[in-house]
Amino acid sequence: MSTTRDDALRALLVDRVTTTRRRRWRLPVLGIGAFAVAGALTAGALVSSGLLQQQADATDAKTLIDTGAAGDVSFLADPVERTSDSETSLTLGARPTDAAQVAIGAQCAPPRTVSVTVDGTHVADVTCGDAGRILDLHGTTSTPTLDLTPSTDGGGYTVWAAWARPDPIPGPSVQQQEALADGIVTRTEYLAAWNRYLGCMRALGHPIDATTQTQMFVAVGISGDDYQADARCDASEFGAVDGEWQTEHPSPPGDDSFGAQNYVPATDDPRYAQ
Amino acid sequence: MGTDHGEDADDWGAARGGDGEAYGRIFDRHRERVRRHAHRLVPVPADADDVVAVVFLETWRRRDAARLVDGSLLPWLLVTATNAARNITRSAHRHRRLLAALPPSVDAPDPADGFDDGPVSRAFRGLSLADRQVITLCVLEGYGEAEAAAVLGVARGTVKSRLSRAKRRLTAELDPTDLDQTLPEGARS
Repeated sequence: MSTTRDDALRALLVDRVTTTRRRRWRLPVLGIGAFAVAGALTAGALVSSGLLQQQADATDAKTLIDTGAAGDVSFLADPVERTSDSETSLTLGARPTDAAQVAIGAQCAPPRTVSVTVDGTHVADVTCGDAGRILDLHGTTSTPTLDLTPSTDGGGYTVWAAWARPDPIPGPSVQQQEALADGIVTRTEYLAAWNRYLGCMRALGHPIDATTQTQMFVAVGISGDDYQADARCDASEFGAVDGEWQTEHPSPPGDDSFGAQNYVPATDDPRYAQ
Repeated sequence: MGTDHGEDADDWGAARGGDGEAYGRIFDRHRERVRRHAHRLVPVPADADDVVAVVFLETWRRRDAARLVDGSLLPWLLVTATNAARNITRSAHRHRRLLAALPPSVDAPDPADGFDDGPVSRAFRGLSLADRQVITLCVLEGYGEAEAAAVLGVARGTVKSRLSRAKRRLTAELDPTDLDQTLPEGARS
């Protein structure tokens, strides 16, 4: 049963959709957010604000990074942003000590790219809607100005930029790559990857109390304090192997506890029970 | 999931063509499911109603990016809700004028009454955004890994691995006695 509020919201949505087609295009209010996940900045990843355009507020971008970046990117100063519908420029704040790189991103309507020039030199083309990029601004002035040129005319765009230091999530280790090389993950390889993960966590100062794993899928709790270390160690030692092992052992339909049972090589998976 | 697949695809196509009532039907079809998920994410019911509104407003605003999974828009709506609820104050800011025009939520309890949403829900809200997305889709809403991968735009193996990690984290946040309590509605054990 719908409430009065539901009915009002429905009417609002219907009207919005109906009038969208008839509305004459105007410069929209664009936001900073929506940094895509995984592998976007060099080898690192930014948290995904996912699907929402945030209100144009420089503090929002910093909050998004600070609250979810898992150490992938550290802002060294608050982001600055500019909204325009034509060529414009954006001046960064004073360069923090030893800062040489800038994280930058853009949101546009309609989608396109924004060319970035510093001191007359083209440094990057930023694709709107993609995750942020890292620009290397060694040798530029202490308060560089970024000249911004959209690839096509018409419509608005917002660019944000901040002095930053990338702390990328590592890629898979050599051992993890070797385990995946033949397209098959054996039980031995699976447990070896898990043990490397545990060693990685210990090395980062976040030891995990894990007993010998006899279950089909390893299971152990990870507390909030361990999340950042877990993200790194999972990426470098275990995540891809784990994904392949689980793909090799799909859950039967409706069996939500699959994986918690002890692994029995002879019956569960003789092909991989090396 | 269910019998909505063909209807969503047809109505979404019609809405994209300017048929407002078609989007109204999508709202009717998925409103309660989205609200139920919103209640998991935000402890104050009035905020959950704002999440519902933001979800449908944002889905329309970013309609070019929306993905249907097996002809259903629901997974996309749920992912949007998880994002919106992360900071409802900020999420609602963009639509503040529209939200202010809506009637107030009914039966909204006074927060001073101490709304008790249980340790499981609190632990769920303590997860990272990525973990909440996979737990929502694969555990709470019963979507398969392939469907979750499609709506999140990641590889299937990534969903499997992320789900394992999310479950490990959720387990660590809960006292063993909490596991005897009811998981968020619809959750599998």
